[in-house]
Amino acid sequence: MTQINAVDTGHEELIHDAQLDYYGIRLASCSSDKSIKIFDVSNNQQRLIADLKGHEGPVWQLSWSHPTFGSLLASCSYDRKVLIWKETTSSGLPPQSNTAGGTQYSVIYEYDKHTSSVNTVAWAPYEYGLMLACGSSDGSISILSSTGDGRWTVKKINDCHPPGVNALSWAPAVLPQSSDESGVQGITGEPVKRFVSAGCDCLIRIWKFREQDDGWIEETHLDQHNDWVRDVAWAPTFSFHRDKIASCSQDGHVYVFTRDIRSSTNWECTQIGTHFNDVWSVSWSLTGDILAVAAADKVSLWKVGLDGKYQCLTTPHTSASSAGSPSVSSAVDSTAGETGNIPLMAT
Amino acid sequence: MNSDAIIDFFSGISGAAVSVYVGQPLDTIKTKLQTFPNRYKNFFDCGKQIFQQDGMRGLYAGTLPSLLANTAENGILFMAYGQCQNFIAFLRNRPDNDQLTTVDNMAAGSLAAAFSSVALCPTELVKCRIQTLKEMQTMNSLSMESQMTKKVSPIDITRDIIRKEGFRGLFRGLTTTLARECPGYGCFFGGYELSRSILIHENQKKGDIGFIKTWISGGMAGICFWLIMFPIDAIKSRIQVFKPTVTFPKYTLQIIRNEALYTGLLPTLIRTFVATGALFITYEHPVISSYSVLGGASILALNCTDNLLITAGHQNFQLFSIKQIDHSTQVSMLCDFRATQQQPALPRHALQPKDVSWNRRYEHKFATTNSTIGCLYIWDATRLSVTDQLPVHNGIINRIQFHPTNPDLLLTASQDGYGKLIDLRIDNTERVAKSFRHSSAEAFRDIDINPSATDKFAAVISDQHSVPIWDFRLHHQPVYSVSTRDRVSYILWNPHEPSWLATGGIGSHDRTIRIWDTDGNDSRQEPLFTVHAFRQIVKFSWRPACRYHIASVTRFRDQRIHVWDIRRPYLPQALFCHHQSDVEDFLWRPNSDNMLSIDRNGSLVHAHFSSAIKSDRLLSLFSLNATSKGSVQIVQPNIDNDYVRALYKEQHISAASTSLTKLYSHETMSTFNKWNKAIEGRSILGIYTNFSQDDSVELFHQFARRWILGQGEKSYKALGHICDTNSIVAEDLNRPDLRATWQVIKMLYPECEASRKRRARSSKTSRSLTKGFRSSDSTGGGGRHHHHHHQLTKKSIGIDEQLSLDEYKLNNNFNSERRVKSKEQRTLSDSKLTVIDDLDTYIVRDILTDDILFISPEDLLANGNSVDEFQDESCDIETMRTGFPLPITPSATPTIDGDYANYSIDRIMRKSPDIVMIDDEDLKNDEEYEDIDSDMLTSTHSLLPDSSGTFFTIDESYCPTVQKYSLNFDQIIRDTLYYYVENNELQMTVHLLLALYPQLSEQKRVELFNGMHLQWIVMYIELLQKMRLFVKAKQIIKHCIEVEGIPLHYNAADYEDTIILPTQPPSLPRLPSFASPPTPLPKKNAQPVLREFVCSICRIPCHGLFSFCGICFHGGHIEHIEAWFKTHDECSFGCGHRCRDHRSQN
Repeated sequence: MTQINAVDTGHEELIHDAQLDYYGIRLASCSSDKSIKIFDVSNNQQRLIADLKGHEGPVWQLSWSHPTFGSLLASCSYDRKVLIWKETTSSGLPPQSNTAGGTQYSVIYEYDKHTSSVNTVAWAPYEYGLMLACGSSDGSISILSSTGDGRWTVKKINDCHPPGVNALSWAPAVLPQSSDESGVQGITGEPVKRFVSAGCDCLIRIWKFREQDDGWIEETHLDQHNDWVRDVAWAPTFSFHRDKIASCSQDGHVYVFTRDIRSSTNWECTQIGTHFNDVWSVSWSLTGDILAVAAADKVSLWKVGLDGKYQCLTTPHTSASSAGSPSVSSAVDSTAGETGNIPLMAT
Repeated sequence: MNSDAIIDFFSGISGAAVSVYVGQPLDTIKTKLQTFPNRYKNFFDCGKQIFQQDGMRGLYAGTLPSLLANTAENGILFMAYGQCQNFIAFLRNRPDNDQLTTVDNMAAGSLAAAFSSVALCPTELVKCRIQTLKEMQTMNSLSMESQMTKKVSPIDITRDIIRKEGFRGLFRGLTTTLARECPGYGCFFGGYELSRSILIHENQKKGDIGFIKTWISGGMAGICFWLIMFPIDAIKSRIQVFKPTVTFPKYTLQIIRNEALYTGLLPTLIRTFVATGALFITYEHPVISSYSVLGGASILALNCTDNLLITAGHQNFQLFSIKQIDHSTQVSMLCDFRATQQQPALPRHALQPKDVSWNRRYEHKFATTNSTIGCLYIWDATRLSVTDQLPVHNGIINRIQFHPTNPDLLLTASQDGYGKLIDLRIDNTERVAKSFRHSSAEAFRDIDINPSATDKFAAVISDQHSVPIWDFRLHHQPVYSVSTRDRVSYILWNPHEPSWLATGGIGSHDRTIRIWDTDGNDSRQEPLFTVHAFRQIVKFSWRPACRYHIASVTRFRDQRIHVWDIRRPYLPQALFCHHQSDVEDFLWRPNSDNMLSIDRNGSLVHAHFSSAIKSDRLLSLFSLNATSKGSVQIVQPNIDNDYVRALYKEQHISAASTSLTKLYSHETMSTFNKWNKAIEGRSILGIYTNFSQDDSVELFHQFARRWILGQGEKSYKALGHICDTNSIVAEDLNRPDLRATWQVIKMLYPECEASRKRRARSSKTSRSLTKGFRSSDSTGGGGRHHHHHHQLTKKSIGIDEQLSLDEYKLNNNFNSERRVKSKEQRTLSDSKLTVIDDLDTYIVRDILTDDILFISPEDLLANGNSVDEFQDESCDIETMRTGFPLPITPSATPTIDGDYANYSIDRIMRKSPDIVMIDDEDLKNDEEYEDIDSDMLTSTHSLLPDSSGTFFTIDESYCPTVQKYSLNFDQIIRDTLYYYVENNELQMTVHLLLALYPQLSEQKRVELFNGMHLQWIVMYIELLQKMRLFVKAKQIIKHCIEVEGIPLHYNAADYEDTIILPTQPPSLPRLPSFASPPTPLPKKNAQPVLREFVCSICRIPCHGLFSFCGICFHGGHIEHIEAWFKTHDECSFGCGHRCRDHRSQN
């Protein structure tokens, strides 16, 4: 792996999350220094267009909404709040982003009903409307949905993961299909709203919205991990029958859970690689076929082979000669290059 | 049993478990040495032998019963001990367990041991048997044969004992156990209490002596125990192992006479020291305790000996005692000043202290101020009354502080603009020794005497942007002034660093804690460290255990106490979250890492630092996202900074073994003491790519650009062309699997059709009857497609036979002709050529490299319904091609059974067959197919790699049956598309679908996909837009709507003759209504939902005139769009498309 671009964010502390918007035009980063910065990263260059200050504590995670809703940015912070930011326009006219001073963002909604640090925030697929889920260290998950007139309704699921929620991820909105006995598949009804959450109780829980009682229920939970589950990611999928979830935990394991509801309602667990040191994050590619895993010492990409096993696309970490990648820090480019990994530790 | 007893019980159990795991190997050695003193040379020899013979298992022999024995014993022991202490205290008339003497504790211990012996004896017995099992076996190997050899599980041994010796056998050695335990534990607890009392400092409580000393005391206790009791234990071990028949005293004498009783003492002592220490550690440290006190307290104050606590506030004024009863902190109320009558009588405001300060030497003396007048009260906590009232100020006294070293001095800070030093020795009413006044004459808000340089104090003056520091000896003006530039509300000297002064800001915007170096030689006056807290700070306190740590609470709605490492400005190191309501005040207990805190609801919490949540657990250092461009965007801490380098150097951390978390973790930072600068916690945000290994996104782009869609013609020629082009692209991009699929599609449709045409032609030329046959076939196509023989039955048998014979001959001639051609072809193409000329073989078109499925008619007949299947399905293709409406078939079940379907799909998808079906020789003769022929020639030749191995030519004209019964491809098509969907190759699915779309009738589409295909197309368009392939997305949309008439979710007619596409990527389409669905569909989904065109600027649906970009389809109200493009080049929707460039080009 080679570094092709680096963004100098100017944050004063650790950055906890960085998210590109739907079209990959804007990059938002959030940091312990309580600020959120938004960059224009089109044309392979970066330009700071906004510096949002509104949180009172470290900002942990960000999420861009689907552009249908006008690119809202949700942020969650240690200060127990979730803020929803919107690009400000005056009297319906476009913001003058070319002029000095940058784009203005303002908070259109503030949610502060959690009693502890809010660790994760994620917009639902746009098919469900403007809907947001956030998980907190108080163990609960809130689902906010916009009524369309500036008000928001909140559904809170208490005690999802009693010691704290670390991550959550929405299932893609795919219309359910039924298979009758003739094998003819048809679309039946609305997509089922589902998301997966991971927490400090070492569990991964899958939540489903049940229309008849207008509430969220736990569909199932997965208990393969035996330490805090750090991150969870529902893979993009185009088929209703196949679900795929990747998770990583402090125990050093990364699992992919798959389910084919035609054959079984159980999730099958596949381990990715062997053991990772301090694995932090997992992410699926847009088409859901490649899984990126970030561990303390390297980032690796995994792709499922024809045999159903995951193969590492990146080669094991070796000490290699330096490559001519654009330098961000000597620690990075001293070992970046042909190794195929992103080395994270100075050697 | 009260709750204390339960706590004791569980502390004992957890302690025991730890001590067993630590000490078990040593215990095994001990038992062996005791029972077989002559077998092993010494301790080390014994350990070595055990390890060599049995490995770790040997050393840990009997762990289970030992665990049981110890947990049961210690649970009971510690539970009983607490109760016995109470009992002894009661007997001895002591008010408190703390005041028991060593002898009392010994007695309590002995008594407690009697209880535990009963539980200990049987488990100990089993343990000894297991540990010496091996020796017993070798000893008895001749006499006892294999009786005991295999029985190693504790349950087996227990059962064995009960069977052989009865239930009483389990209590063999109880007397000795008692004889060992009672005096033993007497010594044990006696030794423990004694060594603790030796180790503690003056004025220190036993509970606070810390980890190491607790361990040492525990270890000493164990040594006392074993030194005295070892001989008895040796006897006990023997009795339990050898089961002597003589009585205890006699046996004892016998042993004493023969052997040394102190064999095995060394391992015991080592074991004891290690394990017992561990036992007391776990026994001593429950970390949190919570008490409920009267609400309304906003001040906590602890006296100099750390045993008296005052809670005070507007509605609260109580005195508590804090006791360390061995293992837990007990807080009990001594006095509620507001509830008791005071002598002399005090005004009400005197019982509403604004501040409280304990004398730093006399543990019962404290001073309070009140919230209304400038009067100072000196209290005596033993008499619970005021000893002195001093009207020293004219305004409210904000803060008072006793001098840290001189017990007679007291400093006050008052609203009246004076700070006064009170000397209690002065004999007048005010007793003011010195007065301090700031030049601004503003009020003193806070004062703090430097604990290291006790003649200096710092003060906070209202509305001043500086903190003056006075010397008591020079009271006219401050000796130094810290210019803070902001107003300050709270100050505190660091107890470890004499010159470090922390200041807390005032005002809603200043949420910082700043640490200043007051050494005075720094003229710049920049703070050394700045901590950015979350809200306005109301109180902070330096953590005694680490000079960089400061705990703080903020104003309003904060239930948490944050502990900051001042070197990290933004991230707290740890947080105490034990409160349910706002924290009012907190303090660190001296010489320990415990914190006392009180909240608004009167919950008083005593918590050890280990119970605080370390924020490095919460923190995510890493963020990772796969971008739409196929790269990975990573945020990671930048470890290339001075701090990390210094850390490596100082701590000798090896880079390879350190995780990122550890670098910034609480542990590392609190122990890293040589870094007096702010620690940078910068991150790197980088985008990385891995083109060489993973090119899936690149491929996606390439395929999107290069795969063609066709013009919506129904002809097979066009489909063949699409297939060829696309398979060449797939070949180019190194995806042989996709190429194979395109080839298969080509074979399934155009070539099948070509051969059909050819067959028709050949029959036309050869025999006119065939034509009649075909026409009857087609006309009959509306119903079932009949088997050959069924058709024939309609005709006269004679003619029929004649016909068949002629046909057969003709076919034979034709075949021989072809065989020659095929041979020519072999030389031409330089490939292995296989000619299949078995007339009676159906060739199922599962075309593979190495094998072809042959199904003989016999096979088909054997599975009777297979024939029917083929018959049934063949009509589908027939009707589809001839345009006849779909017949209502009696059964809609899939016609190829699952296994077979899977098999074929499997083969098609997973292999990369090098085979290409070529009929070109034959086709050359056909005028109709001249251009497709040449087309195919070039394409197929280019598809064939020069070195390709196998090359098949298959001609189903060899198989007369195939000519008549075309096979069912629908299942294959459907399975193929679903296969790609489910394997996330949506692109392939959609392209296949669009290529085949003209070939599939509406009914067929419904039957095969039932609306799913619409969803796929929409998802594909969305993907294309996400990847910023706007032109391609437009092309697909246009193709779908204009060419194929695929009903995406809007109706073009609604926007007259312009093509308006959704401003947002098309949302989920609802299922379009079908004229005659073969299976009833839920009606509620049959309504297509029309979405309005929403202005991308004002987000209001557009009506009337509006404008949009022809590529990305985003736009809005004309006036908005025009205004937008005056200043922008890019799309107003935010998709990044440069619409204006496009406009100017056009």
